[in-house]
Amino acid sequence: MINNPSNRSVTLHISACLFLFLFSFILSDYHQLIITRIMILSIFALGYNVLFGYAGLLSLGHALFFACGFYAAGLPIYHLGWEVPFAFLFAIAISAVVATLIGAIALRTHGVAFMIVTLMFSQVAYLTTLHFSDITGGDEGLVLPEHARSFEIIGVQFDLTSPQTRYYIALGLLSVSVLAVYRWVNGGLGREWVAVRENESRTRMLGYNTFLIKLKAMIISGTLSGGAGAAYALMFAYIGSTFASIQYSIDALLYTLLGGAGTVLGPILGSFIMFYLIDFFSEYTTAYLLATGVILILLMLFFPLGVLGTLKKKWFHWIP
Amino acid sequence: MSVLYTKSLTKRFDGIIAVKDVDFSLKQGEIRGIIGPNGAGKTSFVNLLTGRLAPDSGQIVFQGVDITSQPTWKRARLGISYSFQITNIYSGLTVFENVAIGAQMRIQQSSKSGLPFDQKSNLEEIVDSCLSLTGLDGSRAQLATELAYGHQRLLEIAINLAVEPVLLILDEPTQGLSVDEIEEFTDLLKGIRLNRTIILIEHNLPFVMNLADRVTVMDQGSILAENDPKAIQLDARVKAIYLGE
Repeated sequence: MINNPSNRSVTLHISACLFLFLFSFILSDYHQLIITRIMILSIFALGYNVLFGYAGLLSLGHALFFACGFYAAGLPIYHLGWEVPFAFLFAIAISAVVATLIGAIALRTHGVAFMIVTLMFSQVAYLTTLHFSDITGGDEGLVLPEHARSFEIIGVQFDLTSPQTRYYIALGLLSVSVLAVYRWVNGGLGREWVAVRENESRTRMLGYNTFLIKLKAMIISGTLSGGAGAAYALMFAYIGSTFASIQYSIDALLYTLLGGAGTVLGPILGSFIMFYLIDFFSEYTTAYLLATGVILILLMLFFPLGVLGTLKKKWFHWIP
Repeated sequence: MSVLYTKSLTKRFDGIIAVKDVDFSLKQGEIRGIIGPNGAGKTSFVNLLTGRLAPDSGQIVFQGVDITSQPTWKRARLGISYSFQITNIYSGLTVFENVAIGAQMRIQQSSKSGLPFDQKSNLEEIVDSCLSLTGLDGSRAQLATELAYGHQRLLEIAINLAVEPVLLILDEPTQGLSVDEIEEFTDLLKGIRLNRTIILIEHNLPFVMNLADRVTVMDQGSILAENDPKAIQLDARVKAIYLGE
């Protein structure tokens, strides 16, 4: 059974989630916190990769979707006293709507123009959060109130101040996202995305409505990114404008490129590598970003398709 | 009954008339050759049929539906399939995936339209049958870019067959092929014609004359002559534009 490529790749993805689960038992609190953050940002990268790695659309404005979920979850809790689960679902729904609207406009452009349009939208969102700082808290941000630190679903109490609980919630969300993306990219939709990425005009000549295919990628990508943003805000009980800044758009791109665009697990691997590189070097030097940059250049030299992408091309063709 | 007809179809490019008042009609199941010197408007004309160009005036009707203002992808769904003059495949994907993209469209279409569709045919079967028709069964797992040029042309045909087109438009299919390959290609087309209607745009006259049921000669954007291959070969006007007599 393990020799069948599709079984092998399913096994790989389930093992990756299982590994993260078992890992939690031996982690120190510090690493548990870091990995929780990484897992949430991995969902963001996973969403980014749907658009970039599969549909071939390079967006420079994904911080917009992250921030959209982030604020749509945090603001109603802070100002209106909403419950956590409700705010989370609300944030996901809003992200889907925003992704549809932005997609419907931005997808009229191609290539560099698409990059610029997404970047501009994202900057507008960032500046908006700064402009309305009496509502959003601007750069200083807002700390979510006490009632948002725990919630109840069907009688089970979740305490968001416990690192353990946060870790498992993050892992749960990541696993669901991985399995969902895995199913999409290995089904008909994934084939359509790759077809558009590889040759859009040919795909249109075969009868595909390529605009709609790209819009679907945008919606799924934006919704996952928004979900990641919402989870981040709720888990760490803080919302601030930094998370809407261009740095987060670039991070998602970097994680994806580093781990391997167009592979499901690549962006997750990429975010782990990036986080731990920065973590490692910042212990030794204040110039940690320089050191990280050098390592990144080396990695891209030897793994031009990203770590997982290169492994896939050279040895493991069955990695999806 | 005609599968497709156009009524005074016209296309101008900055004052140059590429296609001028063309009335064209195609019968179900025929192979039609379109020939003519360079710049006669052959490619512009089929681009109007596929929707890659929009006409300035005139009408295109396909199976009773006016498609004049429909986008390319909708026309493709109705069954107009275009094979590119310059090989246009998914070079980064395997041969199987290339054809699978076409096959998926056919499955989507038949499930949507509710047409009787053989339940057993699935994606893999469609792909395999198209690959064996074009003789590419051996290259299933190869990357398209690794194929020899002649095989890439065959792959192009296989992708088009996978969508099960009503009308297949082949733009210069023999361009760049060797004499042997052209012979194989002729046999292939004879094998796949079945009930399909095919438009062949070609420079290679012996190839067209061998395959086509009827031949349309275009010159300066208009239809100069239209007849069966034998009569076309004897037509004085055709000789004139080709040989300058």
